[in-house]
Formats: sequence, C-alpha cells, structure tokens
Amino acid sequence: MKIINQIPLLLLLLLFNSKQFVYSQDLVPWSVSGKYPVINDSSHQIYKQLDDVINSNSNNICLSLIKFYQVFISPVDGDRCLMYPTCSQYSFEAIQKHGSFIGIIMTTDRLIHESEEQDFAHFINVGKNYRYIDPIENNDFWWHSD
Amino acid sequence: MAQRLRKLFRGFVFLIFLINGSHALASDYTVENINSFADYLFDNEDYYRAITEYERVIFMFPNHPLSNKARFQIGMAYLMGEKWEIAINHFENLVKNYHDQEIGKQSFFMIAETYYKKKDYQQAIGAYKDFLENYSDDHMHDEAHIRLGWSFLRINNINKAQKEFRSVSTYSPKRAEAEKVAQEVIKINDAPHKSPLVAASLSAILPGLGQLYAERPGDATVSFLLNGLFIWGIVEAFNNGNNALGIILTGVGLGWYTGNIYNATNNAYKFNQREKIKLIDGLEYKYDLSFTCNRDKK
Repeated sequence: MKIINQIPLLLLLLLFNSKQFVYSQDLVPWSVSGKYPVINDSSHQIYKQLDDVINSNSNNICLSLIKFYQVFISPVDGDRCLMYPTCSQYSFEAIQKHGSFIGIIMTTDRLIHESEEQDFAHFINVGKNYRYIDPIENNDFWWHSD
Repeated sequence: MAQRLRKLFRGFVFLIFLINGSHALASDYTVENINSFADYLFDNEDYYRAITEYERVIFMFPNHPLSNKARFQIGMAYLMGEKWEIAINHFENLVKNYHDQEIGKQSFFMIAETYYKKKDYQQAIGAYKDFLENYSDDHMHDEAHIRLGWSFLRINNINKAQKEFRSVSTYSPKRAEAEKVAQEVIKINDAPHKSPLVAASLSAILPGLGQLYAERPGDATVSFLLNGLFIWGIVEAFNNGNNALGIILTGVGLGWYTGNIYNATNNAYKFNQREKIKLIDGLEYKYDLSFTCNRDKK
C-alpha cells in the first residue's frame, strides 16, 4: 500500500528524467555509413587505399615494389612517416602520375625535403594520427597543371 | 477523512507537476530553440552536431521559415567542416530546388565560395562568373567581383584581379577599399624572389648549395651529406677495383643527385609562392575583404 502511495513521486521522477532521455538520443554512436560522410573519417580511407594497392593490377615494376613495401614491410617496420601522404604513398602517386623517371626524382626530392617541410606544411588529422600535409600538387605545381 | 484529503492533495500536486513538466518539455522543442541550439553548436565549430540539429528543424517543422535557413546552414556546416564535395552537392541541390528564392541565390554564391576555400581557384572563378551571369543586377554582384579579384590574385593574374576589384560599383560601401586593394596588389611583384635557375645551377655545382640559396638549410645539409657519401662511396669502390659496386652506387647516386637539383628548384618555386601568399593573406586581413565565413567570425 505504501509503495502505491509513492507511485506519483516515481512518475514525477520519470517525467523529469524523460527530458534528459530525449536529449541523450544525441549521444548515440556516430554512424560510419557512407550515407553520412561527415563522419567518414580518414582512417577508413587508409584501409580503402590499402585495398586499392592490393587489388590494383600494375605492370610497373616500381609500383609493384612500392606495393610490396606497403603491404609486407611497412606494417612490420612501423608507422613513422610524419607526412601525408606517407613517403611510400607519395612515391606511388608520383610514379602513377608522372611515370617512373620523374616519379623517382620526385621521391628523392620528398626524402630530402620532408624534415624541413614540417616548418611550413599544415598539420592535419589523418585517422588516429596527425601528419604534415605535402601532396604531389605542392611539388609539381610549377611545371604541371592538373 | 484526513487520509482521503492527503491523497487528494498528493494527486493534485502530481497533476500540477505533470502539466508543468509536459509543458516544459513541449516548450523546449520550439523551432526557435532547436535552431538556436544548432546555431550555438555551429558557432562552437561543432559542425557535425549542428547538422543534426538543423536536420531536426527541417524534420519537425518542414514548413516553418527557419527550415530554409536550416537547409542553408547544413551546407555551411559541411563547408566549414571542410567537406568540400558534400557542401558543393548540397548547395547545388538547394540551387536546383530554390532557384528563384534568396536561399537559392545564396547557395549559388556559396558554391563559388566553397571552391575558393578549397583553394581550387580556377573552379571558383568559373563559379563566380556563373553567379554574375545568373543573378544580374543583384546586390551580391559586388561581393562576387571582390571574390573574383582575390581568386585571380591567387592564381597570379594581377591585371585581371585589379579589373575585378575596380568593377565594384561606385555606390558600394566597399568601393573605396576595393580601389585601395587594386592599387596595392602591384606590391606582389615586389615580393622576395629566388631564381629557380640559380638554385638549380648552384645545386648542380655543389649539392645543397641551391637549397641554402632557397633558405632551406635542413634540406641543404641532407642533400650535401647524401650526395657526398654516395660520391665518396663511388670513388672508393672504383679505386678498390669493385667495379660492380661502383656501377650500382653510381646508378643510385645519380638518382640522389638529380633529386637534389629538383629539390633546389622546387624549393625556390615554393619560396616564391609562399612569399606571394603571405602578401595576399596580409592584404585580405588588412582590408577586411576576405572570405565571407572568416569575416563573419571576426
């Protein structure tokens, strides 16, 4: 009987809490669906890139060597490159874009300038890491227009 | 009797709380409140959550005048969140659905602004020109001319930039400042300059020298050491009769040497570009004619 008397009080508490419940719906986990790409963070893109690397059919020996490095050596060697794209990915893209000869020259340029570039490049969030952005376009803009 | 009265009183109190509580809950969910909360999130740069709240406005009050503002703000949130392609798609849809309304016009303009913020200046120029063609004799014409001026400046076309700044109508409050910018942009030609040819030649003579000239001492050190070590290794290999090793090292060393020349040239171009951007950014800041979103925040 005493419990029945407390029901109004319980209902009152529930009523007040229900407002918080309505607001707490904003705290559901964020979607990772491509349908809502605002939260499609770069970590997923990295996996996609890796898939692309594994699945791409290339006859270029340089690209195959870089693919081998990215898939088999880099995961063991550790993620130490502070740049985005990473040096191996930069090399891959440079060779894809400009061919082996220019691509290799651009790769050596990247390896020479990467440490000092950090004084000038923007710092961006890529997946779980922060990296300095230094895409191909920043280094071929003076002789190649996209 | 007293017990019944007590029960009645409790019931009465409960009813009052119930009505009051429900009323409070309903009053929190007015379109103004949700919109204001969304704006608060937007102002605090929490764009993802802001989008959710603007979507809530549209979902719960689709015919309210604020729902159009919410639709526009979703595009702005994508833009400020640097989701360029989604922002452009969103604004394009708004242009398609509300072409004759203010929101359609603003969205058309924001497509160009998105390209500008994305630093895709060629596309931005095309989009601003499209805007000028589609919305003739509009008060946003002057804004579009100013943005075109900055876009041309960013791609190093000073003459066209000056022309656009001077196209701002005489009755516009921004005319005087636009004229000042048009006069000052010539200073960009006086920006500190490093000759890429000199940088390349110096690095060809002595690896690292061109990088020093382009004010990159770190690159100069790396280049000098790498090339120096390879040259030393090549000489030692041939001197000791290890011809095969010498040939391999020569092949790899040539790659570093060529990369060193490319690096010096690249550094000179990047130096020149950086100095120009510094001057343009300075002008934008000085004359308060910069990108809409940034200016609104000041």
